[in-house]
Amino acid sequence: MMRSSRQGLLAAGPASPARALIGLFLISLVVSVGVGGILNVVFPLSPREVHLVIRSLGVWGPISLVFIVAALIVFVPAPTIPFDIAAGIGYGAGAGTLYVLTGHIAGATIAFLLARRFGRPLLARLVPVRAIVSVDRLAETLGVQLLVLMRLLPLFDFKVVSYAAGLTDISLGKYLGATIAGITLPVLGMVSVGADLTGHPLRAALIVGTFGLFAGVGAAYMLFGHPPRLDNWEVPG
Amino acid sequence: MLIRSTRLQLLGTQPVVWALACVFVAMTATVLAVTVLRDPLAASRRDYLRQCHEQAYDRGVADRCDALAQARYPAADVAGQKIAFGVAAIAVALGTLFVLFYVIRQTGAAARGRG
Repeated sequence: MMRSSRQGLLAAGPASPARALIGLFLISLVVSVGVGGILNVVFPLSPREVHLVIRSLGVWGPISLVFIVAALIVFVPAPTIPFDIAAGIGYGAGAGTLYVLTGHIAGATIAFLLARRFGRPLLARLVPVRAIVSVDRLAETLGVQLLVLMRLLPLFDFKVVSYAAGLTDISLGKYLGATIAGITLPVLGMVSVGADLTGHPLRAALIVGTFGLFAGVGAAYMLFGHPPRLDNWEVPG
Repeated sequence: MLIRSTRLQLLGTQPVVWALACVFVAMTATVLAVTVLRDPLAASRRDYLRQCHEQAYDRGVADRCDALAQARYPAADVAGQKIAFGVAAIAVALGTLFVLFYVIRQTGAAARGRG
């Protein structure tokens, strides 16, 4: 069985889900653990400090929170965890989740549209047309399922997945639907759990990640338990 | 050789089961970390710190809250808790890999079935 899996992986084309998933996973690790970790050391930001700053902004606090979370997702390869936790401390689980979720959706939409507008033409110049069409068919067949799964699983970077989705031809509606379905529970978990672990954002992320993995296993079994039909997977010669 | 081959076969048979096992390990380790192995004064220290930081910030005075909190609610040895969180982190990473492996195997099977 192992051998046949390896064969499937190696025999797959350039746009196979195996390569797409592994590639995104590795890039996610580099961005979130590598670059994000370095930024966290160079510019340490505690939820407590973020909470105090947001609190001092008064009625502008929620708007600023949404804006900052969205801007972080679009421009900065650093985790939004301190802001998620600060939202929970300042506004409670319900309102805090609403603000953070709005920021995530706004950031995800902007990243997706930026990648679609500027990244896809660049990709067309760098990658053979056949590979791009193959990627598009992959996105059409499995895009929503893969997106939901990658939003749920803890080690996939939110920003990387958002930009990567923009490089495919998946529709904005499907992308947003899958994103909202995938991130609502993790955001609610982070805002709720984080408020009780203000001094340990990484532990909060770990607890939420454990439940995200649990949900991810269930989602993987439901979405991929019966292998999807992959007619017309690759473009003929 | 036979044992190794059987192990590999087991590993490849149901990655989703292995992923669930990782979830179980991660959840157990996390629950232990936040219950049995936790620092008993951590919650009181955290509440005190929150109030202290806010008061210092509002009054514009120097923030000495960490030292005050340590003096009032001394921290216990939390090595066990750190180990439990470490185990949970490894289990989460492994579980994610097993889910990936499962998805790759399922979609790979579909791609082969197509051919």
